[in-house]
Amino acid sequence: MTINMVYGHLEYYLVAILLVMGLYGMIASTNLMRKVMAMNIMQVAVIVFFISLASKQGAMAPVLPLDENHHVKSVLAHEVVNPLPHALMLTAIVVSVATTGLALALLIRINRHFGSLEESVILEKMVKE
Amino acid sequence: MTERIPGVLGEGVSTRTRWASLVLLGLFGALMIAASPGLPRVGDANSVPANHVADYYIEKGYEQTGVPNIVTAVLADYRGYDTMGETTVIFVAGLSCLLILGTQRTLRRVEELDLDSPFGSVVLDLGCRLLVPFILLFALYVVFHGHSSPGGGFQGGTFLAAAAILIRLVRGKGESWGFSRRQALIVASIGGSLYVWIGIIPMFYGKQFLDYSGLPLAVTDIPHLRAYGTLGIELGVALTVMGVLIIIFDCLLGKEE
Amino acid sequence: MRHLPALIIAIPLASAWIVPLTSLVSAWLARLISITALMFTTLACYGSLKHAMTLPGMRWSYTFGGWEASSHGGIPIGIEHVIDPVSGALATLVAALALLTVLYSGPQIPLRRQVRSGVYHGLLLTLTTGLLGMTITGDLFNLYVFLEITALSAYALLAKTGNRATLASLRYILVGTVAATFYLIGLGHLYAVTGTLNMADLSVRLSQVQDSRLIGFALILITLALLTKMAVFPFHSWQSDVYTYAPPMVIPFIAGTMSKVVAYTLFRLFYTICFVDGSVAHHVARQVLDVVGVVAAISLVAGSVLAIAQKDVRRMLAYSSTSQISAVALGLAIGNASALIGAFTLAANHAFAKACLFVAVGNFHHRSGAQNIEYLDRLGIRMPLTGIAFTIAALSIMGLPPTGGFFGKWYLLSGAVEKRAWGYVLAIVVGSLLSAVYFARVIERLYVGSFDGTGHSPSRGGTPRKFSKENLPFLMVAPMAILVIFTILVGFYNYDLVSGLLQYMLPAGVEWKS
Repeated sequence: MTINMVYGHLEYYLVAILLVMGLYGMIASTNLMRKVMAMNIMQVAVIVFFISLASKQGAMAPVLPLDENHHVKSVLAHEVVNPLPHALMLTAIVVSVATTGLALALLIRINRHFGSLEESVILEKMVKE
Repeated sequence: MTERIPGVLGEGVSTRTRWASLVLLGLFGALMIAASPGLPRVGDANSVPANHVADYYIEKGYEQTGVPNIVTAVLADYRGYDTMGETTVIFVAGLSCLLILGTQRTLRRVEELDLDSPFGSVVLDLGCRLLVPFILLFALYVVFHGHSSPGGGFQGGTFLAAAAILIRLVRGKGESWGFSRRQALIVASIGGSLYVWIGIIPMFYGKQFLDYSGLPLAVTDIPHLRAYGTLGIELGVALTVMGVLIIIFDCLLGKEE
Repeated sequence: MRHLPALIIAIPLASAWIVPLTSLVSAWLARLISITALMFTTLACYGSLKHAMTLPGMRWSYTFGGWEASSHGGIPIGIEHVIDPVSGALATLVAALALLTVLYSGPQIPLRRQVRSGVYHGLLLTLTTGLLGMTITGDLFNLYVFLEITALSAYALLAKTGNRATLASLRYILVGTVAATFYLIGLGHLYAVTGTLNMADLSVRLSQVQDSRLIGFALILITLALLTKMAVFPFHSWQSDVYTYAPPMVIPFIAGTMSKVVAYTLFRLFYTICFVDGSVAHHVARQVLDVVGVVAAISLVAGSVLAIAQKDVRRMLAYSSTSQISAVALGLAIGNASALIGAFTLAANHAFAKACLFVAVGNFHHRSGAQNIEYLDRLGIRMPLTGIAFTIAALSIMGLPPTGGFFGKWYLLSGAVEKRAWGYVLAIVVGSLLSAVYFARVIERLYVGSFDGTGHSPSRGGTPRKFSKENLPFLMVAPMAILVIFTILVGFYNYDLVSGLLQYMLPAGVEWKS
């Protein structure tokens, strides 16, 4: 793996690091809220991955501009960033928001009942019931 | 009792488990990096994904769908079915919050707060009165201009919800400002139904599901017609997102049971 | 008629949006709408299956938005649905089970709580939509979207009853999101080297890729994700808590269908996308499948062992599910005609039998409050219908003739023997024997009572109520009866099933010699 190749793949290494960070956070955290936050980090890693796949050097955003006569200019493919992963990741972001919302609702219910979000406290109280 | 897995509702994570998971995860990361040379170089305009379906979207997108914003064209027209699923996901999240945190009695209108003593100070109150109309206007702009600039239904819907949430934050939990949870549910359902029925109507005219060229509008130019279809579903999405975000916010803030 | 594949999704989805709205006005109307919608959905699925089998190649493709690949230079720019014998049959199964669940849950939801009941029906409809979408889609990212719809609806439905259920659901969310994320990353890798998300197109383009390391990594990630969702050992831990604390009205549906749909996705991933003769992808996929086989065999035995140690009937059934779905995964891994047919038969049989078991357990609970095995003392005599249903369904999972389970295991064993994989043979036999152990224990309790005659130890599960007659509402007995009948039918008509339907499910190149 030459330096040139490493330089061209830096974003993918970032994705790997973020994934590992998120997974480790989910396994090693004792607080339920921190687990949910680590889950978010993992989801962000996926988004970064797809967006990196979409980028092109020197290309503009996939919104076609207007020319002098206010008609839409047609462009060639290599002048515009790949729009498909962007659309896919919009969906992924929405899914991530929905999942986080649901997880937070559950956390609130757990907190109301057990009084804490720390695993050890919850376990103690559950054993007592 | 719940089964013991290290770290996930276990007795707390021992050091040995931490090291073991670190080793395993490090292995995973190394595997991922080892597989990465096969991935296209970041920024490469000649990579495989850039030369298959995506270049078709870029070059033929505007002339076929009438939408200059290609991401919106892909999201709402070429892959409109995915977006319908995504709207359903958001709706499910809203329904879930209602189920988990909202009980029957809190769905009735909560008492209005005394207007003489708002939740925030006078400065906050005045500030939000000035801001809210502009937020709403900007939100509508984002929804309707999703065609030609970055924007669209999801983003606009979030702004619309932000206005309502700002009012709640400043004026207190009780102030629902005409948008109670029940009404938010109605709005969300209307938005989603709009989307699904814009998809179903073309079937009556012999076109496929979600084929906007089958919509019975008085427009003969096909890309133009498709652009109207896209607008319709973006509106539906905006309504749904607004309704659901308000529902979720209200449920998360709800009264103690 | 030609829009049936779209109606399969459009009907439950459109109803899901209006049902919560309608329940604000009248809960009874909301329930009626959901039942009608599911009836039409089942008809649509069945009609699509019938029509697809008359087409050449038995593959009915429907592209949304009118963006057919054929009219745009062969490039798949839209999302397509594919109905073939497997997906059509599975879709019909899912829709039928959904209909039975809505009927079954009727007596258990108090209709006075209007909005609650409307939201519940809405979530059930979205769950059905998600499962149906996953089954018949032909696009990998679309599969992810519907996977998330299914998962979110399940998270919500499972968290309803009390605090243990909430914790179980949170754990399920965490594990399920990890699985979905892995799936997306694997999908991203496949997209990066082929540029397409459509399954048929992907199989063509993937066969030209030479990078075995990347394909292997992507396949492993996606397989890990799917195995976690199927709850195969060692990724099974979320399932036991979830099945135990779930509300009894919805768990038969989830237990009966979710893992089968995911198993079908696994089947499609390997046999439809990767198995193009002679390609690097085929080679790598074959190696991954061998590893999957080993994991499945271990899981078969481990699931049964774990089930034996359980006191709560539902937790026992959850571990039993792990074991059974691993048998299906094992069949997929072995790969010859017998094993695949065995896998499909076992999947169909398990769907009916496990749903029936959970319905029976729910009925026991409804009348007597019993959950622990000890409290089922002689319940089979006091509730004869439910007892018989439980027994027959249990026999089916154990694999006794003439139920469908027997034939499924028979085909699976012949497949393993044909391939001379004696380790797999041993695992299947041991797993079945162990399943006999834990089910026999429950059946004995149901009819004979405990050996020492007491059988009431103060533990969790509540004290059983006294009652005289079985007295279950018709809507709780009828689905159970239907499910039991189907379990037996799968067995009796198994030859017709194989020659008429399952034979056509086999991927190209795998021949069935009857």
